[in-house]
Amino acid sequence: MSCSDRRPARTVVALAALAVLGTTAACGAEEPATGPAAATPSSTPSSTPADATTGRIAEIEFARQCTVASVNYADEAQFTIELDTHLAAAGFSHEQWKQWHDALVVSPELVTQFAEISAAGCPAEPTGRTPADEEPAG
Amino acid sequence: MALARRSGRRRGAGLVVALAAALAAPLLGTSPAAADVDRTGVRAVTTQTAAVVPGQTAWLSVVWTSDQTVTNWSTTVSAPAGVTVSYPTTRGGADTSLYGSESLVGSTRDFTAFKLQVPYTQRTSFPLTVVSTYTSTCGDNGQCKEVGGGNDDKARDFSTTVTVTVPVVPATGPDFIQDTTSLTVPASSDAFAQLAFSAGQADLADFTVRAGRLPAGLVVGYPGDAPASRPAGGAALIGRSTDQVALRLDTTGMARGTYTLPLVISYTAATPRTASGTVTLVVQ
Repeated sequence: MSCSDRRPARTVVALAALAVLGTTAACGAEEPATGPAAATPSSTPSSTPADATTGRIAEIEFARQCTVASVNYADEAQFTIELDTHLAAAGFSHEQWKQWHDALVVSPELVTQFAEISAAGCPAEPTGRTPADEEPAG
Repeated sequence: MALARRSGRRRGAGLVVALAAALAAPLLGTSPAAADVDRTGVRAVTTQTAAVVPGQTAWLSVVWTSDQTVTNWSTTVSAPAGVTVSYPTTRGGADTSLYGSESLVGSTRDFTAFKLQVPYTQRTSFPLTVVSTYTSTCGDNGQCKEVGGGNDDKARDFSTTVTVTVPVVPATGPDFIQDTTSLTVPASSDAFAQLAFSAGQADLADFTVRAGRLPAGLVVGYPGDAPASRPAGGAALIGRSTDQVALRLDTTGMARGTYTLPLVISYTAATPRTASGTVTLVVQ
């Protein structure tokens, strides 16, 4: 079975896992983040497989990480508003992003997927570099 | 004496053990000093933040990445004199953490956010010293388990200090915009009306609004019987935000009609300033 053959089944598994996380990560799901580290996971999620859905969320997150440092906001809440705007445009909620983010720490597949998406680099960065390849800033 | 000899033999044996350990440590990677080396690869991706203008209050961010997963993330920022740093209230205001959580997963990115109040006197770019502390639970051989500690099940606290530059550029656009340009009030009424103002890029301290030469029959008052009205949110009109000032309009002595009410708007930007405005008052 090729990777592409497995994708539909893996997508179902991943969505199911996110759905399960949605019912267990109560803190992250019920308290929209209003700032850095505003919400923390209330339970230890299980490993979540990577699929097209998690890839799309990872793309949104990476795009945000590429631009967030070049923007300043009058209000702290703008960080979340900006994220939620991009999530909504792609059909995702903040809760889904939060579940994906909380799952990263125990989901090697999600980390690998995020790293692969990041490998292209930010628009202003040299291509083919992953975050791990970058030089220390200071 | 015998005790001394035994002690000498023990000392000699101890030296042999220590020497053997010292020789073996580089091969095994388990010397105490090596165990304390930060192998997390934590580093800042950001070397320059977003630009600010003199007199601006702004939330800025620094993006971080790492090779290994770390937890208990805390960041503090030091700025030159005159630049005030503050942190999200969600953590008590003494530091900031990462946006998504207190953990930075290896090979991913996350950012820390903090607020700067830049004085009008700050007209050139300035450095920030950013110190992040975090805990690594990876083992002394640098290997990490997916959950919990590494091969030695120990947690080690590390810190990374970076310097990032905050560019300062001149402000553009007006100092403020008067959003409310018309008010409609009933005849023979005496009530407060709200006037909205939006600041430009920078903060305007001591922002006050009072009426100028009044149309015949109109009586104007201010909250607390003050000589002028201040923004509802405080004495300053914060850059890029909108606030309201209240004017008490007593129209009992006015005939129905449309009037021009002049306004005197005072504030302090780089220096104290006074501007004029008008609001169309419709008494019906």
